[in-house]
Amino acid sequence: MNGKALPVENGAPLRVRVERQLGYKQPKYVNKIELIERLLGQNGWGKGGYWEDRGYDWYGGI
Amino acid sequence: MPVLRSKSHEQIPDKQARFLTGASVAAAGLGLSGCDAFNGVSSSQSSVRRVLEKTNDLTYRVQRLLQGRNALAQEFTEADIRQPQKANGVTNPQDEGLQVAARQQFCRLAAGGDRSGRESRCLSRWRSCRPCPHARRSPGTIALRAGAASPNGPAHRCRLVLDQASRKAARPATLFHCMDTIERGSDRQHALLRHDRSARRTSSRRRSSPGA
Repeated sequence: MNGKALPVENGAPLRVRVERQLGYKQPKYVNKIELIERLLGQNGWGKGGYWEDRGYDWYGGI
Repeated sequence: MPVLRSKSHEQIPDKQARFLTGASVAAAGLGLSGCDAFNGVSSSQSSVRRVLEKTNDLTYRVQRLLQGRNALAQEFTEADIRQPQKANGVTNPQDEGLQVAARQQFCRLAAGGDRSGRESRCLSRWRSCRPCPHARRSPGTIALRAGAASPNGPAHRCRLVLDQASRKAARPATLFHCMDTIERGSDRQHALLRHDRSARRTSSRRRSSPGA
């Protein structure tokens, strides 16, 4: 971050950066990225993500 | 001179208290039943929800029309950003796996497009150009080297790996596996247990987003 290694408090080892979506769409502490066929219905966690399952908007764009 | 107070006069506060207590209980009951009444609105099939989503979409388009595409997501130079940048959300996760990985300087990350692992890529030594003693080398491994801020840095190379994997696997969505746990309550633990049983693989948290 800003020319230095990403600190743990900012989501090391990897944080997703999506400029046009809100912070909850930019997960921290990512250690694995998997490409999947369907967004919904992943092992019963089916609204598109952790926060989306708790009522947050799926898109979350700005 | 003593003040004489009638019995009925003394009972008024009690009546008022009982009335207020009853009214409070009734209001609380109404409030709770109101919560239940709106449960259906949270459903993705709810017409109310669809209307709200359409108004949200309209607001978004009007904002874009009036302010331009770049008004809400400006790019700033390093000089414009206050240092150190304040972190949001979970800032000190106590998950054991994350703590161990941090001690090993996050040597091993994986990007995959196939559950069998055939398309997996090990993004080893994310944070340094030195050989990573903890990385498991395998055919097809792509080693990322230093240069966090450079155009050819790890983030750029990660994008290349994801582009390559997504083209090959033709998967439209991306699932991010995260090492931290936000909720540690008993309900969350039960949910995790259920999730682990069905998922076979354990993961503290999973989040997905539109395709990379």
